[in-house]
Amino acid sequence: MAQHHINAEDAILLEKWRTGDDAAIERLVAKYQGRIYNVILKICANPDDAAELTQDTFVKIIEHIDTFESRSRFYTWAFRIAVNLTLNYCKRKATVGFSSMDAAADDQGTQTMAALLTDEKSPDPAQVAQNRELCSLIQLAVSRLDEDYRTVIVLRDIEGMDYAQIADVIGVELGTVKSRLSRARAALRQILEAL
Amino acid sequence: MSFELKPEIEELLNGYIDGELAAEEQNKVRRLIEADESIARRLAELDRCRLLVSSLPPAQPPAEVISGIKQVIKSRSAHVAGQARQQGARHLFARHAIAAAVMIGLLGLFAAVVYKIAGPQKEAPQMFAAQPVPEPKTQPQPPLMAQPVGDVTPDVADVGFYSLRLATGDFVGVDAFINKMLDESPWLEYDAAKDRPGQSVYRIICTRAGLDELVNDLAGVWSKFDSATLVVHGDDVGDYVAVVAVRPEQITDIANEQTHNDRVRLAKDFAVLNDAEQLMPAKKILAYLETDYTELINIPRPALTSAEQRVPPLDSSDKICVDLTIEVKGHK
Repeated sequence: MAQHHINAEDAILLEKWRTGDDAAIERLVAKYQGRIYNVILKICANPDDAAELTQDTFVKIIEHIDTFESRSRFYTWAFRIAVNLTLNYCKRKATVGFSSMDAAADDQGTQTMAALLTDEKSPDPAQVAQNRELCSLIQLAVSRLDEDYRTVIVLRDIEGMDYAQIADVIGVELGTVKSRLSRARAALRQILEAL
Repeated sequence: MSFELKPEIEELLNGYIDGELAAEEQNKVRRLIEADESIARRLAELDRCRLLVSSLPPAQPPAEVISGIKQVIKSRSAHVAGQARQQGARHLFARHAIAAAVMIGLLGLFAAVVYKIAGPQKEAPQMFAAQPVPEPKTQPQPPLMAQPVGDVTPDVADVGFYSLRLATGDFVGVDAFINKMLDESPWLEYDAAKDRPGQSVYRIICTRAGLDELVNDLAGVWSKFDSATLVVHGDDVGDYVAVVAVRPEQITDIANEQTHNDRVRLAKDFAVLNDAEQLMPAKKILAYLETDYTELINIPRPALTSAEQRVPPLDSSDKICVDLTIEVKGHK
């Protein structure tokens, strides 16, 4: 129900913008800029590049808004642009390492991560968010995933998309999303155990 | 500690923690968890892993990103507005052009209406003017060159051109009769051509009343004619109606029709009737004649198909002239 409401609101804002209401597109940008930037950052793992890619994403959205078909969802359409731009960027910068993030993986972080994975209690998200070192380790582990795995992990666990939306954004079948996400989590768990 | 499960079970466990399984699949996972402790442990690890990733604090985009996006929106809006203004200017120009064309058309229509009402009238309206249609003036050239002269030539308004071709076994007697008849008829002008032996051609110009007298005289010797054919010439050369086996009264009836078209139409009617009469068995005709049932075989006079009344033969003041050529041929 909430998703339908979001889609309906997006459609109204788009229609207003097409009729010349600039405030409508500003509302759309304000609504999605943080989420798009966050997804891009988690995939590319570079704040400066994420900022540039976020701006490029919205430029592309604005330039191609006339080609957007209303029967699709603006939400998944916008994230498809963002993910494609980011993955293309990552392929161009394939040689770029994650030394800055690797430096954050100290012994204390490793011990914490191992404890978290073996602890029978579920981790408290608030505590994890406040632990900067732990966050850096998790981000490091995510960044070490293959791009395809990293993308589905980010779209599912960070952006909170369901499988169908992920399939729509990355352009694969639903079964592919299931299998890819399963392998991505297995790989992430191995990376986390290794840290 | 890491251990491997079947990929199908791994997908089921991931779908379970993501809430993507149907009720039946969820029950299946629950049964697997209850039956296998390792699967339950793996499910817990996967859920912890998911929670760790989802616990990452959201990053906020730098302020320059937002300002940059707003700048893009403004520049795009200015571009779109410029395009809209250009389109609006073109649209406005088109509307002005259409309006001007409509105004010009309306002015032209208004001027035409004013001219129709107040302008000079060239001629009276022809709607109710029932003008008589003039008779065709073109007539075929007469077969002979005799020209009507003297007092007998009326003030001609119309000329009926006829040729009467007569064949007889008594050429000498018939020709002498015609010569004498013509000589004793001061109301007509005639010319005679006797270039060929056994053949005479008379060109006669007279009125219709004179023609009646002439035909009445000829009727006295009509029985001597083996064949009699009247040719009524039409307006154009080669346009004629031949009435074979013509009788004297038919000739006068045709000539006394008021208009050229009527004469031609009546000649056609007589031609049809005479043809039909010719086709009747001769014995039947004779039988009727001998038994005094002549009325039964008399072909009734053709009735005019038009509403016009028959006009009686005109006198010498008749404006219709008759140009009759009589050809008499004798059998060898």
